[in-house]
Amino acid sequence: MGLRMYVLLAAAVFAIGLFGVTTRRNAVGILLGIELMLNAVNINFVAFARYNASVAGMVFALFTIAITVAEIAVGLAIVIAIFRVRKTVDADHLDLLKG
Amino acid sequence: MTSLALAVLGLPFLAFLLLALAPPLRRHGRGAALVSIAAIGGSLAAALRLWLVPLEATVVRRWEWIPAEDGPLVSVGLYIDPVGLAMLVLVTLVAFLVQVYSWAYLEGETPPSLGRYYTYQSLFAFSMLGLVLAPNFVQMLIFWELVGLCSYLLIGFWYDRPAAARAAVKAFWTTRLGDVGFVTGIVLLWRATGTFDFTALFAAAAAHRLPAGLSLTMFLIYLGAVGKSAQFPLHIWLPDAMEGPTPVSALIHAATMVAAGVFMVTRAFPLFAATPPVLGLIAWVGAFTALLAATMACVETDIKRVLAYSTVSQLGYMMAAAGAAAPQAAFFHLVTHGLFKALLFLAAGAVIHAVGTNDIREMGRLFYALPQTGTVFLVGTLALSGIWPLSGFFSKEAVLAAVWNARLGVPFAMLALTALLTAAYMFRVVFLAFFGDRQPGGHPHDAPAVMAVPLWILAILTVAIGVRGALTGEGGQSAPRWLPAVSLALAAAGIGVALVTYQLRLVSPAALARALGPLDFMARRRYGLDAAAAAVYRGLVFGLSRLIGWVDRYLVDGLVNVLSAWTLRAGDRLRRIQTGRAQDYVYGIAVGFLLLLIASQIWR
Amino acid sequence: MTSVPVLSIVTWAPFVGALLIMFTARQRPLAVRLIAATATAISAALSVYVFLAFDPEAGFQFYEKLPLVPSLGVSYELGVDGLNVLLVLLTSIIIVAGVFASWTVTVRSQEFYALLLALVTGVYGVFVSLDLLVFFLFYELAVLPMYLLIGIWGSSGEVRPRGLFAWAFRATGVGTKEYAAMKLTLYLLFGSAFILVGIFALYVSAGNASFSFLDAEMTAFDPALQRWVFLAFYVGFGILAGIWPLHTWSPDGHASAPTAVSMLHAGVLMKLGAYGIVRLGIELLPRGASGWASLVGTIACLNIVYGALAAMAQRDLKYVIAYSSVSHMGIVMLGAATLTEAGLGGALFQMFAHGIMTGLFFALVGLVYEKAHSREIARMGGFGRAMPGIATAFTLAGLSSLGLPATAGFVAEFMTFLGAWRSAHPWWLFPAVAGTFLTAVYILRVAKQIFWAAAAPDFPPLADARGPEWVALALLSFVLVFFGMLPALALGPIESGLAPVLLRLLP
Repeated sequence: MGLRMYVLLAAAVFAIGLFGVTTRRNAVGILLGIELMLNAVNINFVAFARYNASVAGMVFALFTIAITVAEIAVGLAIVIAIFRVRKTVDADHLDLLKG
Repeated sequence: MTSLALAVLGLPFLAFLLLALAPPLRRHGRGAALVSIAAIGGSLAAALRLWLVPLEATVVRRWEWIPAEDGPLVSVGLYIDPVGLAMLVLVTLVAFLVQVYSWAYLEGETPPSLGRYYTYQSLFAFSMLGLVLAPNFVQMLIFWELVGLCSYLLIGFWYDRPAAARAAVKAFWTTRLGDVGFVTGIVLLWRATGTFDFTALFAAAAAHRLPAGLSLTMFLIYLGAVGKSAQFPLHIWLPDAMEGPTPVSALIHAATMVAAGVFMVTRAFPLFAATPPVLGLIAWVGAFTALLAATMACVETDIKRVLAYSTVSQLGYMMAAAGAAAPQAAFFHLVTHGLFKALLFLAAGAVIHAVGTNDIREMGRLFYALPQTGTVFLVGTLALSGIWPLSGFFSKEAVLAAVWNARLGVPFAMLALTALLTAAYMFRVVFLAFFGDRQPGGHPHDAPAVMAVPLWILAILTVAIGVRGALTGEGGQSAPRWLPAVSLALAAAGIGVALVTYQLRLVSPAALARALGPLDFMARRRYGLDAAAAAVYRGLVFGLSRLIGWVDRYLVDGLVNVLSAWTLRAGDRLRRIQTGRAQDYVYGIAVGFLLLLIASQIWR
Repeated sequence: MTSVPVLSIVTWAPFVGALLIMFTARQRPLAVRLIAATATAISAALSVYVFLAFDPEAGFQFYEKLPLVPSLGVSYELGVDGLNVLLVLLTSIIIVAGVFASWTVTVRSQEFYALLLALVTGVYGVFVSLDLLVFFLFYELAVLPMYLLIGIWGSSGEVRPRGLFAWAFRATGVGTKEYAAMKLTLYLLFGSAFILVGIFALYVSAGNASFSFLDAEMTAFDPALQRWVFLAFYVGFGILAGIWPLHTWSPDGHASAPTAVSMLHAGVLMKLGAYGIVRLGIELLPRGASGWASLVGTIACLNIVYGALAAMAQRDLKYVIAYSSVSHMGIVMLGAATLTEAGLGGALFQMFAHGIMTGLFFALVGLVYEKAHSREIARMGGFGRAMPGIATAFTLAGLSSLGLPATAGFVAEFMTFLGAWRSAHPWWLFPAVAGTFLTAVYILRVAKQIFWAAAAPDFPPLADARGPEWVALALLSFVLVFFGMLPALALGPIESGLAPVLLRLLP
């Protein structure tokens, strides 16, 4: 199983994540989609680290995981704060920045 | 010499400065008048002193005015020659007499407006003298425009009269139209010869070194004289200019400023002589103007307007003489005409002053009420009609002789007919206003001495020049032997017509008018020329300006507004793209990235 | 080099005045005016000194230099030569008159004077700076306060939406002061974009890492470059100088602006455009200038006749004067386009003459408006009896604008005519001369309608100019006549400034 399959997997996961981000209406679902996209990146990092025999990619992946956790924590906090105020987490209704 | 000439020029200027910059003095009225009269009196004395000393050669003085890298571009200065000196004396004399006369004539004015009047008078005297002394075309243009300004200001002296305001503006516009030609001509002449200077130009003309093809240039320069000296078709402003005070009409619109065109043509005669076609045109237009104006004078009922048309007519005489290559004759007629026409106007002013109307139909038997005024008016009339031995006879004969000698048959005929008409319309005024049987209202009486003395001085000079001419036989330049008799006969015929029609009432004026039906009809309507000028102004200039104004506001600027309205509208539409939903933006980013990816694959 | 930085004081005194007004004179209207008058008087006195001490033989004088960004070759570099010394004088005369003419501004006078003075610093800066980048910065400083001055203190007119584009007129609010302010600012910024591009092009192609004008003067630019850079300068500065068809900001802007701003803008800022074309366009890019001269001159002729005819059609007094500026700037541009000694001299002198004349005009129109509360010509009449002083000054300004001798306008126009007939396109003379006739028509028509004839019925008792207003009128009238009678005073420096320009124009 060469690099190609890993990259294809990462692309597939990324696409699924992007699909989730753009189509889910629930804010939690969108966060989950973002998680998938980031994990697609992680797959690439690890795969290329192995391919190039360099640990830098692994380190990056670890960093990404840590940051993802923080991001999800902040993201969920925002979602909860929005829910408290607006009584909804439907993304279609969160359009205060409309021009 | 120079300092005397500068004194002639400078005294009125100093008076003007003083009056313009010291409002208390100006508003005092009488004080302003004294300053102005004293200045012009001094100027007259200096001019006489200059004139009496025989002049050996033309004196020219120049000072740089507009510098340029290689020598002055334009200079100002003095050009003193016999013609200029005679003109200086004429201008200062008439101006002095008119200013003295105005002292009494305008006694009803408020002090501030009297002060304003004398301020303008001083400025006019300065400008006219500067014009006479100009050593080059640019200085002539400068003062030419300044006398035009004074004319504008003085016609509009009673500026709250709508007619005066209209007449002032009309005069300025019409003369300015001629000046467009004058300026253009001067610029063209400069390009062709490299100088504005009379001395240099005359030297070139004398040596036949003038470049060829100057006809257009000289024609354009002549246009300036057409406007200023009221030649056809720009004569229309002069009769309207009679809205100004009568002394102003006497000074500016009879004796001096309107003669500036003739003066310019005589001054620049060597140049005109180099362009025979232009000279011919000048003669023809002059003769035609003389005749046209004379017919219009015959039907006018306003005494000042009769005199105004007669001025136009006589200016045509002068121009015809200049065009017939006899500048001396033109200038001689200019001088004599200046004196007797000023006399006529001032006398008419005394009449108006006494009876309070301009309309000759409301006057009558004034000779008995105003014997002095009547006498001097008669002297002026006889001179204008060309009766021996008054000055007008000799100058008119000189003009006719010149035109005859130049083999200008048709112009000569026109001028001869004009001579007849001149005598007729002038005696029409005399008979209607001074004799006749109609009793004027009120108790008119002769003018006070301040007004009468200037009249007598002018009358004496008119007679004196004539008598001198009779004694020395001066003025007739190889005239044909039959000419004096013919011109006297013409004048007598004119007087006879007037006598028969207006005094003896053997022929009724109405019958005469019927007999000359179409001509009378046209003359009364000023041949439609005023109406045509008004139509051109309203239709062409004003119509064009309305069009341009519309185009600018609604087309040129409209396009700009369309552009800005489009921008506003586009912004309004485009702002809907910003939905505020984060998912749409993610979608946009993803699609955009994809498109970039595809593009990078296609155009590798 | 002088030890006292005279030009810096001239330039920055108004700015210091503006700061003082903002920080010390709150709620004290008289103090505001006194500070403004003092600051501008200092500048004016020093400009007169500079003008009198100017040595026609010496090239750039009162030179100052202070490196700002040495690595890029930007420095604060000031100096005057024959081309700009007169314009500095013009600015100081106009602003002194402007301060006095707007003595009666009551709404937020503190901010008004502060902005006005800041603007003046910009104008002085443009005229005296010899560093192209600093020149540009001053230029922007001169343009931007204008927006606030017109938008806040201006007056709205009335323009009926008509014709094909009526919808656009309604959409943009034509006629309001906000519209005028925005239009003017956008136009001028649009122009300044061209100027900036041109300046950078010169900087890059000269290759000596210096924005200094003196260094650029030493460089002979490639003719192909000269052609398009000249065009950029022509469009950029030309907008400011009111060239057709990019002039339409001027009537709206000048008509809406408060008196002092109209005076300064029409009197000085439009000249700034023409100065830019002569200084940067013709002097630095002689080949470009001669290449485009026929276009520049033809458009200038169009300006003259078109502006005069458009002025004749106006019903609003301020618009008449504004369009007359468009017409007269045509004479300036025509003189410049002739590329002859007489023509360029006439153009530079006309900048001065027209600046004074139009400043006087706008001051007078402001006074008439203030007293009669109307700008509609047809309603007015017979004001001469109530305001003889204003009538006299108006007539004087009008005579100068129609080129009557003994006023500065005559000399300028006459020299332009001479230059026109000497140029490669002699026919330019005819529209130029026709323009002076048309000017006579519309100016005298307006003067007759307003000041002469019978008194109009529906006006309260009117008064003549008073106190400080007289200072403005008398000063401007005096200058107009003084330089008309003694043009050599101004033409001496102009000739000296033109000598290098003409030298560079030689093929």
